[in-house]
Amino acid sequence: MTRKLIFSLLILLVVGFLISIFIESASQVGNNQGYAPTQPIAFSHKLHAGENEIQCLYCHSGSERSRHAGIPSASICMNCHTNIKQDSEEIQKIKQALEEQKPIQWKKVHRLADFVYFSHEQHVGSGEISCQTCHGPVDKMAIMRQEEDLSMGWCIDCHRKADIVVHGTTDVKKVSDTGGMDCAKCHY
Amino acid sequence: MSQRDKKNQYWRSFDEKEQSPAFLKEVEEEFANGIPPGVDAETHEPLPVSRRDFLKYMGFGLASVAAACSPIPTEKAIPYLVQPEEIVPGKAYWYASTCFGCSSACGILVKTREGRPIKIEGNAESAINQGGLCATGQASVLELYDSGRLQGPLDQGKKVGWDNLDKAVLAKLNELQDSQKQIVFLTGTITSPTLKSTIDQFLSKYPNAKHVVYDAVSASGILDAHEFIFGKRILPHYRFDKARTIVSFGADFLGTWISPVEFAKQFSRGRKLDQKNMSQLYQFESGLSLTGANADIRVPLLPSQIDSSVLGLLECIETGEIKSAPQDNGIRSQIKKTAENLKKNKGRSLVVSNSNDIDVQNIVVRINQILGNYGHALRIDQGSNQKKGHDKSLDRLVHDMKNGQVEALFIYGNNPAYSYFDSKSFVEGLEKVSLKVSLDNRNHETAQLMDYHAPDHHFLESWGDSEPVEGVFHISQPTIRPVYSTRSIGESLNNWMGIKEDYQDTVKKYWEDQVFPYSGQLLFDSFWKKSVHDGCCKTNQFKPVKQRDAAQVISESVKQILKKSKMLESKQGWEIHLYESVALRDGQSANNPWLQELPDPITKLTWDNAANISSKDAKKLNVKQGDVIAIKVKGRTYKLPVVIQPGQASGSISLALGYGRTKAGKVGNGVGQNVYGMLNGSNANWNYYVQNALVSTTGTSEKLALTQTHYSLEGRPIFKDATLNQYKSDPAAGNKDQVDLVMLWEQHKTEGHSWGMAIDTNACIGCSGCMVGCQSENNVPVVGKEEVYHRREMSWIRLDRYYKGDEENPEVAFQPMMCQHCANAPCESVCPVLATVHSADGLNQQVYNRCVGTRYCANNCPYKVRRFNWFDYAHNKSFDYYMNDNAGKLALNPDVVVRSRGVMEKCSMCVQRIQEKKLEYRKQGKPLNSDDIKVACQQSCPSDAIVFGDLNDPKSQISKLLHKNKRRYQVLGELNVKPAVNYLTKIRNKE
Repeated sequence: MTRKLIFSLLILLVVGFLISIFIESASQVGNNQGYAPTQPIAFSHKLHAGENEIQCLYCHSGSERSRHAGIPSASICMNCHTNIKQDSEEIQKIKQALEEQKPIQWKKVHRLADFVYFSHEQHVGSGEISCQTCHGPVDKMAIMRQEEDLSMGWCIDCHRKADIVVHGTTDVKKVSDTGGMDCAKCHY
Repeated sequence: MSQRDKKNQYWRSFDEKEQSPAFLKEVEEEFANGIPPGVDAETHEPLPVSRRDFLKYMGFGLASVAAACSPIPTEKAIPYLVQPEEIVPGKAYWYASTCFGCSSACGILVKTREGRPIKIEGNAESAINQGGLCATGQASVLELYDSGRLQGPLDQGKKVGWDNLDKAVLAKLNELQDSQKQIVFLTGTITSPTLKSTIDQFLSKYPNAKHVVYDAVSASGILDAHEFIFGKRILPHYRFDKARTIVSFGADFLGTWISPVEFAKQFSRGRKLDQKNMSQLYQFESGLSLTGANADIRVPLLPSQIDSSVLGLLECIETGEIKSAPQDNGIRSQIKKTAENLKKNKGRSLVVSNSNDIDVQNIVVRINQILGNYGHALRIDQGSNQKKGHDKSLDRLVHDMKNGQVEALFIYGNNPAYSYFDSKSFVEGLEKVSLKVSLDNRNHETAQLMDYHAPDHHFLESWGDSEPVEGVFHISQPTIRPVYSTRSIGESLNNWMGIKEDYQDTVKKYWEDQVFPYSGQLLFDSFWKKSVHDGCCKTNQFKPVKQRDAAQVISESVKQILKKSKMLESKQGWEIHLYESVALRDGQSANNPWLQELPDPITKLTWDNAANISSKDAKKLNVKQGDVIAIKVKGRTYKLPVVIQPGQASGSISLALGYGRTKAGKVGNGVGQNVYGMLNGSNANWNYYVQNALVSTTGTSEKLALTQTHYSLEGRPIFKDATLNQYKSDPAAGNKDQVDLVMLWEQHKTEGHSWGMAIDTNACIGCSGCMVGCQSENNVPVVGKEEVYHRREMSWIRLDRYYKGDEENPEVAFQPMMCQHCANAPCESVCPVLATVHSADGLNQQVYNRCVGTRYCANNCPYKVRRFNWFDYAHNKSFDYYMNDNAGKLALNPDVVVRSRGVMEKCSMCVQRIQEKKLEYRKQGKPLNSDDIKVACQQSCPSDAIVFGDLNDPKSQISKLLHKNKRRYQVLGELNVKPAVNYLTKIRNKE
């Protein structure tokens, strides 16, 4: 009798463990945290944003005005590089792209699912959140990587905690108190 | 049902009206025509699932789970090489332009994203359409990305470069330089003054050249009558808003006639309840048209009776006595009433007719003259350019071609091999023409008989202009770099004349010389920039026409009509009435899947044209809906399925033109039957009705993809209406059954905004423009005939059409129906995964990524507005319409997700537009003005029937409209679901 009980408890435990592993791994489907692909041009944020202190918005000028922060066009690179480091192998690649009229095919690092609508303009332009809040210490990354897991839980966490000034008043509320938890804020 | 007054009940189909046992059984089932998944759609046999299949699917399932765990595939992000300064990726830019979907030439605003147009909306600044746009116009953006368009020039069907084509055409043209034979430019109505002058310039180089204008559905009769009476071939510019009494003989001016969006705007302005007098519309017609459905008094009569009725009206106005109108069905008494009303409103009335018979139109001119309407509700000093076709000149051209007198033929913007009634003669004649050039960008029925193809741009790719009404100018500007290797017609002609000029400069030069001097502006540069920005301008040109009294010249017309009606009295057989359908019009846009799937506002038929007959005739012929009948006209037999149409004049059959294309493209080929061949056109203008047709049954039947008859009304007061007098004595007339119900649950509290909608059914004309607007905005897929037949169409908004009363001549009601965003939403309480929930601002949200597809919500929705996504339309070869094709994908709205298979979807109240405006205002630091948010259906509405806004803001347009409005009601309000969409009762201006 006791043996039977121990046996069935054991089985329950094993099944429970397996289920928890399944749930854990299922929640990781599509999670790309730490993704740092090799790019066609070895661009270093550490060098540009970190050491040379170039503003993020100089290159990612859409951040405040559009849903996409935008990847700078080759011509933006050449604004500086017509004078600086012209001989570098990597700069030559940009020059070549411009000459051959072949756009540079970057690998997308931060990927959201199609069913999520994320607007940089809303968060950077209106919400005045710094880029590093979501993208991590970019100024220290020689190779760009996905710092956060960009999961819905991570988004919601911030919506619960972040303060927002209600329009026309000095009241401070949480984003979640002003409809920031509504599904259709992001899913449409 | 039995206790209620049956006479006052709305019904949607004959089956419902009669409560037939088959119908009652059908409404009980979830699926019409019984096709649950796993059942063969054709044979209705269950599909066998073998053990092997089962293992296969299981294996696939496991494999896909494993695949899902592997790293996601790399996605490329490709920026511009040189980003244009004014473009920010992810932002929409709007350009003003002109729509060339038909010859109305409405002003439009084109929404572009990343350099590609994705949506067309009406330009509010335009004096023509004033912000509204019809279904055809809105759908024309899809044609830009149609891979079936000609993708470059062709020489005898072979791809060539533009240089080689020019060389070949020029060599031929040089040979013709001194030829005394004709060189003919055959076009549709051209509203562009620059293009007209370019064509004239091109033709002036040749001794015997002429420009023939041909409209498949022509207004030659009106033009001829004005030429006959006033000495000037002119189409009046109608102003329906200036008329208190409107009488239309067969003209469907709200649906298809000349400039329907403009007329709908005008008409709805005259129907507002807050003004002194609401206009009254009388419609005399055979088949139930959109205009007939909106008429206060509609008189169904045979096509052949219309002519004598027009004459009868004239007699009655002149003398008070009717001598000529038909005796039966009380037609005379109706004409008498009409005449009395017209006389009361002298100078404030309008009589129109779509007849192509010069005699009838002469009488119409006379009637309007007696009533003093010229200069008020119709003007000829600032006439319309929207129909210029001359029937006889095409007849003459065909005759000349057959006699070998035509050396060269250029065609543009028309398709006579398809739409000319005697297309056989046209094709025969064409064989004798030595140089045949097509400038159309499609290889349609006529174009494919030509030697050279110099495909024009789509209008969204090229410069151009239009002058739809004299003194009203629109600019057309490119909104995308040409998708294919096409060239604008103006540039082609410039090249062939040896002029090396960009067509943009040609347009600009024309405007500098011909438009600017009349604009009252001082500097051309600023005038040009402003015109391009606004998309339109007005000049103060008047071309006065000498008034002449028609009385002296119409006696011959009177004789002719009397003679004809005498002749007709003795004739036997059926009468056929041919009409343009609201979606496809003359058939030019037949390859547009949005339009093919747009249900006809009246018959609710998609992907087909059918023979509309009255129920009386159906009984006589012993046919049911869908049974195929054979109609024999001029020795040819046409086989079409029957649609039993309330309001159809008994003895007549209505058939839609524009179907049965054979070279339209993958979507439009073989849809329906081409009935242009039925047109009568031997001596006079082409007649859009035929007598003496023989009709027989065939014993076969066809599936009809109808979108209505789906769901029964179960006798509920879903649509409410009252007459004007009832309304005047009590604004709540027809809307008295409102009850306040006790709430069992706690109410949702809406903080901040509370989004809602008001739909004025008194303004809605049922044109269905909103359906295409929604489809374009929200990436709603096209499902095809078979799936519509299975009632799985995906439209988020539909236009319900109800009938009331006498089925020979019912009252018609239109009701736009979309998700009602109920506060107590029945869908929300049954979703097991919380995929549909309520938002803080009163929206019923559908979360696609959460939905597992139980379809409980659709089952529990009392409005049946939820659509289940059965197939992966965007990647499924069986749905080869536009979404699964690389070019067609470019028309998708990147701000709205393309839903995948297995999820429920529905109207989101354009939440993307709400979010966009909220952000815009927040960034500016201003409180949101909710009236600034225009949802897609509201924006496109030509009659301003839909108002969207914040119900919590007392200053918003919607709050003002609904505040203490006695006409306000909610559909199925008795269920206490508390919809956010409100309707206003319809008021009919009749006794």
